Amino acid sequence: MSAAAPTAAAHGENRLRISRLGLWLFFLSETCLFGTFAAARFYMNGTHTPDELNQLLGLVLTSILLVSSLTAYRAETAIAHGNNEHGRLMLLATMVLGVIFLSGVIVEWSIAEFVPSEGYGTSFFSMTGLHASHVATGVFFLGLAYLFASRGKYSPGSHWGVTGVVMYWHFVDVVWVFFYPALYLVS
Amino acid sequence: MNEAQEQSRGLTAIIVLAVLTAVEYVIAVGIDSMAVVVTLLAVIGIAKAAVIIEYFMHVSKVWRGEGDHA
Repeated sequence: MSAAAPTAAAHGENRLRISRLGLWLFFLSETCLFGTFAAARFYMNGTHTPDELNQLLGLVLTSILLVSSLTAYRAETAIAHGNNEHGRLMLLATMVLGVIFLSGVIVEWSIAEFVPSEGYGTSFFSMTGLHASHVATGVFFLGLAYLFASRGKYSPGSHWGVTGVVMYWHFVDVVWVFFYPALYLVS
Repeated sequence: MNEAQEQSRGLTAIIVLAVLTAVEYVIAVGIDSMAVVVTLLAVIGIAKAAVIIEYFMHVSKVWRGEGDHA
């Protein structure tokens, strides 16, 4: 019995490391996907960006996503230290910011003065659409993490569910770090 | 590292990211040379990604245990 406990703990640690490695490999494959879209944007349109693009909205969306990374970080940190209540509040704040970001993308699509069938429009709608679908996925999984946190499933020694979701959220933020200048600022 | 210190670390990272984003915007609006703009935006983008990956995604702690969060 006493020998089995350390073995079980070691098994748990090993499984955690494998999960982390798997998540990073997933990020690597996603990077190839997003990178292909970014490369296609410059291949098809060079550095052309339409003048009518709403720069203010782009900057606001970027700021919202950056702030959501902070709330996600705070959620993970709080739960990792056993502060579940604050963690849940920050998870909720992150979801709200994600929904606001998605709403902003919808507004942007509705006011865009270019169409998906033209050069820049193809890149713009496909890149923002692909990214927005990842944000929506992130909001869904943040919701699941919130649900599990509400049921007391996480503890300082076991919170991979939150860590994984929050890492995914940060990855989506990293993607936007490159998509924002590629779509809005280069012109 | 306790919770307050970790939260403070996150706040520092987000301030750095906000400043870099503002610099990006100023560069895009204020510089005419396309080559300079693209180069600077690429460098700043990599710097921002590095901050997020290290400070928020804990890349250097991939092989640590869950109890070693800090």
